[in-house]
Amino acid sequence: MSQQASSKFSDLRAAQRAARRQAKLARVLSPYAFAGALDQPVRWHLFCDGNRVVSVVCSGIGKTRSWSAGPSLAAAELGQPEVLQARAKELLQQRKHAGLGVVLHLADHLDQGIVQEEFENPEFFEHASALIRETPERVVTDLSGHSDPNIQWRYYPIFCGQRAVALRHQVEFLKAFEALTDFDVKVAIHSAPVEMFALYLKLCQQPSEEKPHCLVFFYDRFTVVAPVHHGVLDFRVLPHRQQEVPAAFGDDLFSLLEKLGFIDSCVLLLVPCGTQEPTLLFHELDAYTRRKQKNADGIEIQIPDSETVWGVLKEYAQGELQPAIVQRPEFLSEYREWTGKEFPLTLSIAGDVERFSILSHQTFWPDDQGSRDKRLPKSLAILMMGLRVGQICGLLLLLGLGAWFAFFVATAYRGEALRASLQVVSSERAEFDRLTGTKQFLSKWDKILAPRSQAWSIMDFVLGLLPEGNTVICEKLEYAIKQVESKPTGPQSGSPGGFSRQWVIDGFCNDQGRVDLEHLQESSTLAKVFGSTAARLGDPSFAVSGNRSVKAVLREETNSQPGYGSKPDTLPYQFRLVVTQMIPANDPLALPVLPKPKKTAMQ
Amino acid sequence: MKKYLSAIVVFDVLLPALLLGVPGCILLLAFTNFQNFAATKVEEFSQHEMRLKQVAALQRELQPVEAEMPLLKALLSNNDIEARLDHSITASLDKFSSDQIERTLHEFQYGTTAIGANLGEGRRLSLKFSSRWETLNAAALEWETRFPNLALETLSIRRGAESKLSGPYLESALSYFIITEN
Repeated sequence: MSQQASSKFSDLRAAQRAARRQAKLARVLSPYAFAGALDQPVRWHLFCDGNRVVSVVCSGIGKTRSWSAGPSLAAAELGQPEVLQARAKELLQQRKHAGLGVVLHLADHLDQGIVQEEFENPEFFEHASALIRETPERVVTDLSGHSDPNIQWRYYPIFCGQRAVALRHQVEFLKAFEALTDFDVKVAIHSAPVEMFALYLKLCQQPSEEKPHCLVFFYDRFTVVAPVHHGVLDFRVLPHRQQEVPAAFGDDLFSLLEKLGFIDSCVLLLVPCGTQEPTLLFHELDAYTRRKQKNADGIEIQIPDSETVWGVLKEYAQGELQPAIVQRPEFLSEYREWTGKEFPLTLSIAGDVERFSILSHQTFWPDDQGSRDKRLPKSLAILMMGLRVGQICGLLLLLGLGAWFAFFVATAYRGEALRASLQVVSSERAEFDRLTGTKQFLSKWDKILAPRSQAWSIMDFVLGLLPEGNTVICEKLEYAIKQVESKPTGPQSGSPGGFSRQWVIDGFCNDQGRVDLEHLQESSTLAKVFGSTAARLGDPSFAVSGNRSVKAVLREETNSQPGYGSKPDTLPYQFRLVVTQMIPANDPLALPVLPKPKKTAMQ
Repeated sequence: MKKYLSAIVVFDVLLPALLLGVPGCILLLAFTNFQNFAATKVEEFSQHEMRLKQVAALQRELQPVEAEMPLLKALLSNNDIEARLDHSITASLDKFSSDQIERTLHEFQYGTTAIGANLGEGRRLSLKFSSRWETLNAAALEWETRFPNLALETLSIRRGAESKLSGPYLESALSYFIITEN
């Protein structure tokens, strides 16, 4: 299980590395990195028919397109990756363009397979085209299941002929060309005969409408025969099998023409595509008709003049072609602007011209799911680049946060706050707490111990209250201090309580004394006595201020009881003077609440 | 493409998120914690500085009275209060001759004071004297000065009927509530 997981992880790691290589910033920003070979600014066209290689370089597009001789290569060198890489490097350095596309036009091996019955109908071309790239044995009969990436099949629908053909190219140099992709060089492999057929179909569009034509493309290793009349009717590949001409060329051609009814009247266009002269085919056909006594009077044989053909092609290319440089008409598949982009479905020669122009661009580079999976789509490359930018931003953010944190810590520790010794702070706090406690203690007890009721001042007040001399004799003094209940329920818990002080004086007096005592009942007189006592004793409890009140009530009667110092003739009156001082709860001297004392053992 | 997508998700999304996110979160957490720590320290330090000023002010304010603190504490202490009071009153009375003042009652009780509920329960001292007015006044002044925690609840003074004291004399009864700290 863990081995499986490890293997899966390794696969993912490898995929990620491959994706990274393809998702470099330069590639993502380049308009060519994810485009095809023909979309590159420089295209290196290589024609190979097995014996020789034609190398031409085309750069620019449209009116800026220019052709030049390419690096020389021998056929054997096509299989050498280092040679190809060296040439590609040279081209990239010379041209100083961002991208290079290599288009290999193959004419060395071409074979034709028999299309499975279910795909013979060309209307299934979309499905069949996709399927033949993945599993060619599903489309072509008599193929084994083993897939060789060097052998590539492509499907070609022939709508006017109501058939389809499957063509096979053997790409011998696939490995070597794959090495080019390491330099981000785009590679396409085109079928040269299909390109040539598409080109001649365009050239013969008008004549083939008037008279049946049979196009014969004479390559060194095979010959392609394609009858055309109001459209393409068939496409046959006749291999030479080590001969100069196809072994049964006459039989194959005549059977094809007879089937189509072209024997009586048709143009046989022998197109030289290889190194051999097309007269070889003519002689072979002549020998065949004589041998088989076939009537070939209706067959008009034509061999296109190279100059004429290039003249027409120049016109198409608007005069910028030099046949000596371009050399191979197959290379003109470059001119994709000659064809539309939509694949037409019309049954006409015009439709076929369009169709085969588009099909001629079909590349024989492996295009199965596995190959496609190796290529990173541009969308994923952009995504990867975006994620990489995000990672860098995240890393920078992390570093920034770290730096900010470090700076913050350094700045914080430069201040006194973080450097202050804990011990100093603690000891200072303890001192502060001690002092605060002392202050609170003093403040509390200063208030509690303020003089409110002391015997010496109480007695002194009485001396100030009663008149001097013998007009009044005091017999008895009663004093008490009591808490005043401001509400019926008593003082509120925790709040200071008001109190009253009361002096009850019993004694004797004469008329003068009586008058003096009666004066005390006047508020102003009594207040004056309290005030003078407060001033004399320095005792604020006697001061009459704020909401404090003082009151004196005198009750007098005739002195009927003789006693010590109370002779009825000199002190005829007996009196009781009640003096009350009220100190309300809002007075500064009001009684604060004391903490409840603990009971001692003596209790 | 699916493989690339999986690889991108693993190596370009999840792994960086883990490698950047975890330290980032830790750093952010550390930063937030340190910020709080620093803010607390700064706050504590500003309080410390403020306290330093307050301490200086308090020291200036309390310097004159701080020496008296032990005396006040001792005064308000419940420990041995009765003996101390007794000793003080006796000392006050000793300044006078027995002709001038004579103590006839000296009693400690425990209970609620008449002054009010705010003072709660505590020790109460009842004293009775035969004395002259001035002598009693002077003696009371002395012990009340020594013990400012004595709150006079009641005072009763009447002319005495007979006495061994010479001249006019008074029978007095004093009731104090003793204010203590505990």
